[in-house]
Amino acid sequence: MLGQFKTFHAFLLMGGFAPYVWSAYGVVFIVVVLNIFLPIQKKRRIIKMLKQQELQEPQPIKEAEVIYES
Amino acid sequence: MWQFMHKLSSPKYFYDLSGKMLPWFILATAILLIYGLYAGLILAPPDYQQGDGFRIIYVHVPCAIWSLGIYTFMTITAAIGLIWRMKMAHIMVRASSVIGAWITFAALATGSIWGKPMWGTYWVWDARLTSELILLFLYLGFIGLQTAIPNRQTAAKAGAILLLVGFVDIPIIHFSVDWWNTLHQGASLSLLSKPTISPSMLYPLLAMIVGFGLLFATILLMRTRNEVLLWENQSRWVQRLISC
Repeated sequence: MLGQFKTFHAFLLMGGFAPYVWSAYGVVFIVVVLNIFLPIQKKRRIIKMLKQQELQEPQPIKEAEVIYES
Repeated sequence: MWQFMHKLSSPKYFYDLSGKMLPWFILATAILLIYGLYAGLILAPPDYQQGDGFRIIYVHVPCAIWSLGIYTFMTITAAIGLIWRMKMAHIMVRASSVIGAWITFAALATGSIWGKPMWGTYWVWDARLTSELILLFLYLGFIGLQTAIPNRQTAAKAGAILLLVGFVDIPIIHFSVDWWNTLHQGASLSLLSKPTISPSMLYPLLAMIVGFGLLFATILLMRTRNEVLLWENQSRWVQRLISC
């Protein structure tokens, strides 16, 4: 189960490289989670905005351009 | 093939198809990354020179490879968009740029963290590191250009030119470790020759590389779908989608 490591503690220590290994993995983890979260949140915003537009006026809308840039 | 490309250039077709594909992409990504992380962090033996510090390779190399891969994808897609005037191509290039910038940042950051214990420094101005930093600036330049030009057609054209000119950096990054003396080690993997690392270290690395590729494809699909919704907000199928 623990493969190369005798104890879970040894796994965490990473043979003395713990600060480097875990900070590198941490950076990548944050970048990945952020990049998954951002498009999900944007989709919610877009659907909400389009619904509001539909309620207000069925005419061509210009505000849509604004959100492109975010 | 051409017929498929033509169909794909229809935003509605793309939106429907990508919606069906997304769950499978997510599943495949999760399997590969879980296996890669477990085998890379726990099962693979420590490196005979770098000890357990080498395990940074399993996040650094996928990020570095895809920082080049996404740029190459963007350049080809932008060229297709310019030549055949495909709206979908422009949308996809825009959607890729932010992920590309983030992943280049991740490659630089993990490399820098790795450099400290192995080289004794976070940063040196050598060929590999400098050309990778220029790649980050190319991504940021592209994003800046897209935000600065309100007209989408003009923005797409200007962006494509930036990408094509900047593409010269890609072979420079790739061959920099052969062309110049550098602290950065040479390639451990090559498509043309046998790998120089043992299978127990290699398989998790391959899984992480493919897994990250699928992860970016997933994020790209999500972002592209968002842009399609915005661009097509007047069309009937989007209105129907919203109202139900």
